[in-house]
Amino acid sequence: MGKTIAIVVIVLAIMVVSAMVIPAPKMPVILPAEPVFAIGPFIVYNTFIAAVLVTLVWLVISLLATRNMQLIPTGFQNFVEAIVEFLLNAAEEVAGKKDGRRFFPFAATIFLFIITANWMSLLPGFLTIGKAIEHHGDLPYITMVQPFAGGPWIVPLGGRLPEPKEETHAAVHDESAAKLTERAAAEPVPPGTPVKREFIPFLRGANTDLNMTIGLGLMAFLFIEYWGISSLGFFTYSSKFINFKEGPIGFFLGIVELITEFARIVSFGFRLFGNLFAGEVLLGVIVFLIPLLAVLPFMGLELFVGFIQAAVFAMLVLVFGATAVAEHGHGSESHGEHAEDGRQVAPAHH
Amino acid sequence: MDLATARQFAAALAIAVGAIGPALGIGMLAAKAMEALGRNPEAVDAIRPNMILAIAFAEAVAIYAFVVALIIKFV
Repeated sequence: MGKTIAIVVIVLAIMVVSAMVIPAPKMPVILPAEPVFAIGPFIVYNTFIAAVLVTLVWLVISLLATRNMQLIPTGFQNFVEAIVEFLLNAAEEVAGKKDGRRFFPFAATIFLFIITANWMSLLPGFLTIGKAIEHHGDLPYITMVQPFAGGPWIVPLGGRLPEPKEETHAAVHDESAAKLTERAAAEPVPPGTPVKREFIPFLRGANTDLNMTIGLGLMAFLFIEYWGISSLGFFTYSSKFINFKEGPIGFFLGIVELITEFARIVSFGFRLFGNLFAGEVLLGVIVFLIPLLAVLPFMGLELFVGFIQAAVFAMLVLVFGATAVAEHGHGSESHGEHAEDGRQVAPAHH
Repeated sequence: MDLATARQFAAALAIAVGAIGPALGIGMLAAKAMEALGRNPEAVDAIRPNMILAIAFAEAVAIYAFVVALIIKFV
């Protein structure tokens, strides 16, 4: 008992002292991803680097797991097979035996990618290692000029940089930055604009970029439509949306369905982006309030959110897929047919 | 009130008001799920994924409010 109290007191003391001693870095909330460098006309953003890292991680895992495959798996192969089997069981539970197997590759890929990206973004190094740049104007990501010499390359989360002098109007452009400037700066910067300094991290969680999440949503949408069309045929499938048989109410319900179908892209994208970006801001704010230790429980929360969002995305893909391949719900002729493959128990129809 | 101040207020209000509905919704959902679990603990595997799905839908509304707040603040 006395030990517990002592630990609590020590932790609280560390938190209070750190809040007083360590100058709290203020979290800059930057909505778009920041460009790190450019290859020709292709600008590489920090979220893109993180996404490529996630892909590399799974490439390496897959290579290691399948390098020496055995019928009775041991070691690492066993571990990876356990993950895949767990996901396959979950997919079959949600979408039914047959469809679950069909939807599994895409849904599992989405799940693994999202969860890896989310958890990876909590590693040290994300948002803290980067370069300092000078720029003028409000849009550092468009008119970025030059990493200044001697500037700090490692800054704590959203850390502060030394204030620039007014006359350090950067003249020497490095090559990639020059390309960025050339690309974006339609109107030249008026002389005498004060120079600002900004910190650009090299790594930032892949799903804190709206482009990435909307892209995932678009891909999910395309796959769902593909599943629906390929299993029902184009005309049967589109009769769900453009429906003349059931009178005006059926017709308008079909139109509403059509709009819902497209709204899913936005809904998928914003749900993932909002959760992950809000998590990033939350961690930044906590570090700003109490620099040490207080952020740990929130890290745990972010682990949980990362898992839940990946699970929700994959589950929604499965559920929407199951709805898409199901026959038109109102007709009495289509009942009974699916009873044997267990699709009726799926949590279908929204 | 000048424009900048109005934007601050608008962003704060967007997320504050926008979070009320989803919060109530998620609370109701979880309460009902717990109730169902209490009545029938065997059904946990059927209830849990459905509950999480429904919560995700309710939560999406709060996320929309959050995105609107971000847009007001930054765009």
